[in-house]
Amino acid sequence: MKKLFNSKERMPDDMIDGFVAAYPEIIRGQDPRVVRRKNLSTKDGKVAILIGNGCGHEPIAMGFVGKGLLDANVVGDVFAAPSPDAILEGIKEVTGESGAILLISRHEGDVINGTAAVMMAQDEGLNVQPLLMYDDISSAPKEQEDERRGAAGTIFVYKILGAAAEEGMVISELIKLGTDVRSATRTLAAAVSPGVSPLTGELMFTLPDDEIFIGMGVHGEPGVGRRKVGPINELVAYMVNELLIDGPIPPGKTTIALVNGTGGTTMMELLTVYGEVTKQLADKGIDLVFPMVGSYSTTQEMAGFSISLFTPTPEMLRLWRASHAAPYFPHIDRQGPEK
Amino acid sequence: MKGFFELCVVRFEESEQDLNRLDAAIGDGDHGSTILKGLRAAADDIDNPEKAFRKAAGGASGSLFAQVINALMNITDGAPIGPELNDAAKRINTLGQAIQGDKTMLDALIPASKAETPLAAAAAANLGRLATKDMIARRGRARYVEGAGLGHIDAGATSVGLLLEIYAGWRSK
Repeated sequence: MKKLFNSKERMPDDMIDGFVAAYPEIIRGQDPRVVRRKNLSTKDGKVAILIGNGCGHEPIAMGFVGKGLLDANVVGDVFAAPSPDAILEGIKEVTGESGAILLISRHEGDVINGTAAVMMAQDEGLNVQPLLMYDDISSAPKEQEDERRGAAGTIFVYKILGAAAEEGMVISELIKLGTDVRSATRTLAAAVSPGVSPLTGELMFTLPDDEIFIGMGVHGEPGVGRRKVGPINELVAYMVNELLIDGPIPPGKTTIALVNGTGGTTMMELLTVYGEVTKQLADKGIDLVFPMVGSYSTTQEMAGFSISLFTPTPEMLRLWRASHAAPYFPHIDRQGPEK
Repeated sequence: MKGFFELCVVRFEESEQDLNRLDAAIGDGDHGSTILKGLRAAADDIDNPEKAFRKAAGGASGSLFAQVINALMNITDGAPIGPELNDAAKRINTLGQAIQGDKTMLDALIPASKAETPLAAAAAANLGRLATKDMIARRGRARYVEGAGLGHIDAGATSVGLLLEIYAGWRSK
């Protein structure tokens, strides 16, 4: 399969070169895999928010570094969590007296290496707390939510904690807020066709032409169930129903939907999905506000999408809409009635 | 450990694609490449091959397989191999919460840790590796796939078997 790169080994580094060249407010740290805000205010009392993750999912998470969002991202190799050593370097670079939160999307490597890095940092006297993020309802049943893996819905945690930290919220309150956002979020994914692994040059899974996988993982892990391809409204009805069974939403409750494309699904398709989600929730008396529709957490050119539903408190909604300067995060603050 | 990591690089270069294919069936298909990347870094770093391996391999594999490398480096001439492998298995359990039967690298490592000699450990690991075919994954990415990996041999267990086989050959020289 075709893929464009200079050398396989340098793919993450070459990508970072391009990113920091494009956005001068974001720089490489001491460690070449640490990407961080140039003007950190974490030394002046702001709690630092950072994440380490494997690359290959852009724009998440590197593209969300910026004022009002992430202070740093430690970039691993393709689909592989960075080593504890690299994450520790990232923590050291951004952590000031008010401490730091290391976001961890719940995947084995991220959890193992993130936890190890937090322990190493605490041993060095830094006030760092981990926050596990998980939202994929297909990965573990209800009542076992803490066994679930992180999917696109983790974006709500990134944004809301990033905004709250920028306003000066202290670390204990941020952890509480992040936990509450996590509890209010559910995601379900559908895969239409595989992407190509940059590492192996091979398709990441196989799927018959007339089938869709439900519950596909963000690394192209084959899904948990199959459905025949049919009209998009039927697929959305099935997915929305599963989400509402797992996390019922009462009529009239303020709800935000994230329709995330996995890389190979067009904006035409994603907007159609969003339109269907809106109609079907409206039939149940649920009105959607301030959505996010686009390809933000991707798996190369894999075609597919996920639907995340999030029921924010008024305070969470305000933070979701707060302005920010991250290059690849949409400007939700500019949506809605013209001021 | 003179020459050991170089030998590993040669053998894992031969097995890279096979390991990737095993992983592709139930994971993301890069296991062989990941371990090889770590071993190359270990071969280049005389001072701290374990850390070099962990940093270069990255991911869960980097941290977990570094424990096996640590064990092999700690075995003194003439001492039984089992206790060190047993310690490594315990550390891996602490890091990843997997236990025997979860279809992971531990299904090769724990049987090997009951052995006295490197050759017996390699043989036990190989049997453990084959047994993963009939297991349902409860840890790692394979747990999320259709059938949880049933019918597929675990790539991590295969790498443990290969490492121990290389180690036995290297020791007997």
